[in-house]
Amino acid sequence: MQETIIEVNNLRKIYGKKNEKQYEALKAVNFSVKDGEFVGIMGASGSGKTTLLNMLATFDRPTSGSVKIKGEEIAKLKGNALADFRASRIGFIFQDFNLLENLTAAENIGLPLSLQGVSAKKIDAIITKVASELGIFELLKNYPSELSGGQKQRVACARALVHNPAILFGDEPTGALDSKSARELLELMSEVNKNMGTSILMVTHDAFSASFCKRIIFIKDGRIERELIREDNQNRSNFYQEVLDLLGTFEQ
Amino acid sequence: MLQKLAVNGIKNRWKDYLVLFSGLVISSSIFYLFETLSTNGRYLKENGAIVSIIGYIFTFGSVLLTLITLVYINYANNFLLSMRQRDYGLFMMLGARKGKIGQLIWIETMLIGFLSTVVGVIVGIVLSTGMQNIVIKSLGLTARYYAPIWWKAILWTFILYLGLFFLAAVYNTFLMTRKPALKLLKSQQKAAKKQLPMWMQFIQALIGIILLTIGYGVILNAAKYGVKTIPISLFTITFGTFFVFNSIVTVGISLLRKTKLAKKNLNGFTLGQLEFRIHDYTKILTVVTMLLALALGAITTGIGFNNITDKTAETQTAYTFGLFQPTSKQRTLIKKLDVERQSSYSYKVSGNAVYFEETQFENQPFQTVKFDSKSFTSSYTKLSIAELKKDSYPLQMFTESIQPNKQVVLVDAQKFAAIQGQKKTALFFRAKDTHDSQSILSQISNLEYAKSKQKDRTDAIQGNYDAKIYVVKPLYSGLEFMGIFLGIAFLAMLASCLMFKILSGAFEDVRRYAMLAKLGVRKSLLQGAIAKEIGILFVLPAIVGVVHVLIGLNLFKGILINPYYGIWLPFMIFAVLYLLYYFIVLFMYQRIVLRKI
Ligand SMILES: Nc1ncnc2c1ncn2[C@@H]1O[C@H](COP(=O)(O)OP(=O)(O)O)[C@@H](O)[C@H]1O
Ligand SMILES: [Mg+2]
Repeated sequence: MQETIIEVNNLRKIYGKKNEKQYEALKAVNFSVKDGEFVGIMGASGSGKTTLLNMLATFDRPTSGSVKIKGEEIAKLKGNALADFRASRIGFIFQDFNLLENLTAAENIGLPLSLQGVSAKKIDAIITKVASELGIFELLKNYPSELSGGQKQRVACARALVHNPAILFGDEPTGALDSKSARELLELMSEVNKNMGTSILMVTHDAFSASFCKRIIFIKDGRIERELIREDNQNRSNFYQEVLDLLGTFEQ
Repeated sequence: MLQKLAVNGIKNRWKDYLVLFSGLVISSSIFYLFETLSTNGRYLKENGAIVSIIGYIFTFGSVLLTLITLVYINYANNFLLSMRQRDYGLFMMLGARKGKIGQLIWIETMLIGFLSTVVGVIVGIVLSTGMQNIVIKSLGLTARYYAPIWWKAILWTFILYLGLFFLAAVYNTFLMTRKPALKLLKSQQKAAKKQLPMWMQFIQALIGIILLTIGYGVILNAAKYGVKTIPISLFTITFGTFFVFNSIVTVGISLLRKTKLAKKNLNGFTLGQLEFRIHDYTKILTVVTMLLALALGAITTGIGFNNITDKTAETQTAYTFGLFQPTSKQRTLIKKLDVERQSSYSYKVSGNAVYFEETQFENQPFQTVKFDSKSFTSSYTKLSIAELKKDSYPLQMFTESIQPNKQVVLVDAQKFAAIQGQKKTALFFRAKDTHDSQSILSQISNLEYAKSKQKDRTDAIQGNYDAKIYVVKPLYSGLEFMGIFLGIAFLAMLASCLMFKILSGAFEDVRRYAMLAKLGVRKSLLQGAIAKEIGILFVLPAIVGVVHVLIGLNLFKGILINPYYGIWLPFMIFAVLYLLYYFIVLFMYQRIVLRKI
């Protein structure tokens, strides 16, 4: 039996203070992610995907309900404990890369390790290893402004993985990429999931991206509508077709 | 429509505009302050009589301040451009015509320039009035012919600022209409500039050090270079400072970045920030250094003039007062003072002479004063009767007040008794000249002046107190006022420069620090990183600036005798203010950058 990485129970999020106009972006969401899974969250724009992911990644606080990552209740984390949790357990890839433009690719990637007090020598070794695996070794000395979108996202991916997080989150990581770079990134993420065993939870609104996942959770108006699991022997294009079909029925 | 959009853009960024606007207002008001002194020829002449080249000094002060203003406005304009490029790029993408965009940016730049100059001059007038009152009241100075509202200063401020803004507007228009829209849109994703090769850096450092050496050398041998000292040293030291910062700091940071230290916590990020901005930073470091040196130098010499006022007065005679026939009112006043030495002699006036009884000088020897310029202290020597007989001037100085043009004669008791005339009393005393004793001393002085036969108060010298108030202070207080006034003005400019630079970076940094927080950086580490980054901007200019001041004080050797005497006081005051300001800026920066974290 695989270990559970994320466990979400009755998660709700209401935007707006009591006296203001309120909006319920998430309505009692329940699901869990097991170790080593590659899960996609799909839904139309405005359905609450980013809201959900931000709460899982501790960037925002739920109105009610619980989120446990590796058994730890994250709503309880505050201050330094929260910062340390982010630094050690979580990796995140943003749609707009969020690289620090004043640091080289290598420095960007090494930052999470510096924060954990890893020695300079070890940091260099790990950067080299991760960068080689992700095929960005030649780019290490460059600044983000000297990289293409796809390259930037690979660097961001390396930064998110360098400290061996319990889970890698991605909020539409291919959103700002051209189709070729998007495909490369998705293939890379699949490899990372398969070879390094990293659990991944990725939000996307596009069926092609979603087809790389092993399981897809569909949300609509803040609620989980359905789930789709890719069979072990099912190939990607077949799965892609299945997703498209499902989306078609969804829309009606 | 486009106008509406442009105005909307301003509304959305009113905070940034506030920073920009207030920075410009402070800058132009300080320039105005300086010009009220610099263009007031009569004031300079009347108050700077003992510094013959004072007008000359001010001319170069103006040149330096103009240079600083140039850097400042260049900054302000870059800040404005960075705010607007994206907006205007977007308008162009939406199909706005280039001519129209050019027109808009031209109007915007000129409008900001014009408004900030007008407000700046008004603030400048308020400030100079306030400063005049505060400085004059708190230090008991007089600044004759100083006028807070001075049309020449208004004129020059407008000419310089509007001129520079006109150039900026032309530049902006040119830039906006030439650059492709896409470049404007992406202008915020600036790349770090490539560094110069090592040998170029080395040459730069060498040039910088040579320039500094020349500047220091000229100052140390000011007598040899005369009026050329100021222009040479201002030029060489300003550019020397720049080259040194531009090479040594740049190389230092990039070397540090390669060490292990850079891989600890956020050090790498901080160094990256510094290197990323180094081209801005070296300019601002230079400006801050020069302003700091000028401010600290001006205040130190201002206080130096205050010291020399006291010291010069102290060395006129050995006594605070010589009173002839002291009234009972004067005697009660003396009892309230902290008297160090007091002697009382009998005298008679007969014919063309004032007679004293010599035995009284045996029991209570008359003293003269000697000044040691090295230790800056006065010492008193007792005059023997023989010495006093040979040269009675130290005593006659005092008797001139009530018996003008009469000689002083010391005689023995017998002869004294035989002289016709009323026996009178002369009372000499030396009291501590403290801040609190001023009103008592002035009452004693007025009572004595009423008895004096001299009309001109400067002739009716009765001792050190009157010498100070009526002779020495008028000579120096104009300069003291000038020093402290300029010191405060430069300090304000320094403060606004730092604030402007730092806050303009703060808005860019919000995103970066938010990103770091998302990566899981502890808040305390973020705060520490900010403290370090801003600390560099404060520490480096402080070190170099203090060296400049210590060398520069040599220029005042002639007037101040020992310009280093008591400098700990202005230095301490300055250090406290500077530190305080660091914490204020730090606090503001952290509030802006870490607000949402
Ligand atoms: N900070 C916020 N304040 C108020 N409403 C918000 C906020 N963030 C998101 N929303 C609303 O919540 C809903 C879900 O948003 P989001 O999670 O960003 O959707 P998605 O990422 O699926 O496109 C939207 O209707 C959006 O308007
Ligand atoms: Mg979203």
